[in-house]
Amino acid sequence: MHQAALLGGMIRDAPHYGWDVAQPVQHDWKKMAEAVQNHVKSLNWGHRVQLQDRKVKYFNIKASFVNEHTISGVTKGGKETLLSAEHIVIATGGRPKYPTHIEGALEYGITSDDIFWLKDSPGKTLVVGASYVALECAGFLTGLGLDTTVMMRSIPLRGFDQQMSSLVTEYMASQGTHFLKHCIPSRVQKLPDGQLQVTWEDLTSGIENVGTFDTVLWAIGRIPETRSLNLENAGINTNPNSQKILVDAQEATSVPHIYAIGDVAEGRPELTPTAIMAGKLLAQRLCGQSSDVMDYSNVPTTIFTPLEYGCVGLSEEEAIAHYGEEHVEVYHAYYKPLEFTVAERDASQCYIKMVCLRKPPQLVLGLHLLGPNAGEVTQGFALGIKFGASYKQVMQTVGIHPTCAEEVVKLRISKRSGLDPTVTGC
Amino acid sequence: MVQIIKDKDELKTFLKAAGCKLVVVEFSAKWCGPCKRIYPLIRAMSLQYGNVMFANVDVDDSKELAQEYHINSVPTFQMFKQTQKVTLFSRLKRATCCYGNGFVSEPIFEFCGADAQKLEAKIQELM
Repeated sequence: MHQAALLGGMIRDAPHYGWDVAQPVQHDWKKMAEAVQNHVKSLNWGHRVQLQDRKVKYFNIKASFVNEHTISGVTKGGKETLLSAEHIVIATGGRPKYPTHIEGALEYGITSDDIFWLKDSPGKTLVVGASYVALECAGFLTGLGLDTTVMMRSIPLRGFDQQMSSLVTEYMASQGTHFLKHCIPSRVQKLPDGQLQVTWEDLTSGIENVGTFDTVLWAIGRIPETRSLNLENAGINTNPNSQKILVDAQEATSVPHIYAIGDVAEGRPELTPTAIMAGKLLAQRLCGQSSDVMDYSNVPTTIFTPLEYGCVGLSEEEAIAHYGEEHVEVYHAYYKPLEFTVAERDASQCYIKMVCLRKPPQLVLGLHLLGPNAGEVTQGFALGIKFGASYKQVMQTVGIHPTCAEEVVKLRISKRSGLDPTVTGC
Repeated sequence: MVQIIKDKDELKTFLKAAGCKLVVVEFSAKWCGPCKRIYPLIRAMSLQYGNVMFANVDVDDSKELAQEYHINSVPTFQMFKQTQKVTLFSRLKRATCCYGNGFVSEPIFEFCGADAQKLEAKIQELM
């Protein structure tokens, strides 16, 4: 859907390049949703086929622990099966949280689980939350031409570099997403015409406000589904606050032959590729093929907001907290992607910063990139950073012209110098 | 017309009823774009070739059947005929009478992909 929204932008750019495209162009939500849903179904089928090919027995049942060696599984029809195994791996992930204390939240709101399965357009939407899920959803909804508002209690993208996070929301605002900052919803009611009326408190002024929307999307965080697993029956310990399963570096739980990977495990980045890699390494260890454990440091990721944010390593705040400001050097640059020039797009938030140690050769601690195709760009640099690239080595890498990525290897201006970091010239 | 087949029993019955005729079974899915595009062409072929039997299996509705025939992409076309291999001898056999015991549950030919021309050519060759 992010791609669908980006295409909308490209259609608007097209006339600048000489294309005779009638504006404005209409978007058909139904058609897009069906295409997305079909793709997801094909992926699900593909996974089942792969399991069959590898002779993995697939039980479509809801599982819970009877004791540390026995699992009880119940089918949709209510039939129970008991299974026992030498090793058990829990990878049940997380689910979007509903703010059940808010009146009407459960009955009238939806979550990211639902947005991709809506047959009809969500219309005027209120996205509550400041997570990457909230911003990505609000981003593509705006891009598809829908009236979209984001309601945030405090800071955007908690846990991410805050300077970058502000630039992300600034760009979204410039593209038409409305932001209600420092606001918390108090109730959701349904109006006679079917629309939803949301009441919220503006924390800055203390005033209560009301607004009308077609859809309310809760994106306030995710929690693991561990309660229904009956983990106590197996003696598996969880963090009482997060409800996540406590694991060690081997992914083992408090019970030696039971493991947990992915979003359900405490302290792990909530990212699919890390869970997959952790699972592969665990399988190799259990088969005695290797003793390698998962390295959770320097994991790259990208937020697919309208202007994408790719990052790997430490945020500026984390680096300063860990090493001290005097020991950290931050190189940065504002740049203009070539594709923005002819189309006369505003590139004010296209920005790169590299957080390094000040001591030569200046180890790169973190790379942060805001711009088109940030995911593609960050993937390549993640290799170097994971294996200890230094600022010196980055500067020894020749750039590919014309790309946005080359701006990374041309970073010269440090924050400390106070000089203007805007890239000029060709 | 294209017969919808739900499970192994229905397939058995269908193949038995086909006798010596060529049977074309398409394994498809509702989420598969190429399957949707080729469907009207299959239907037209089923009306055109009266001595060929056409059937369809939905891989989600009939998971076990799809698994049994090792379907790993859609659409997949499997063709069945009473004689195991289409040889000169079996062609003679067919010309004289409907010979053979029971039915064949192994396909004599399989191909994947929504290529209507390739499908039609193969049908004409084997029928």
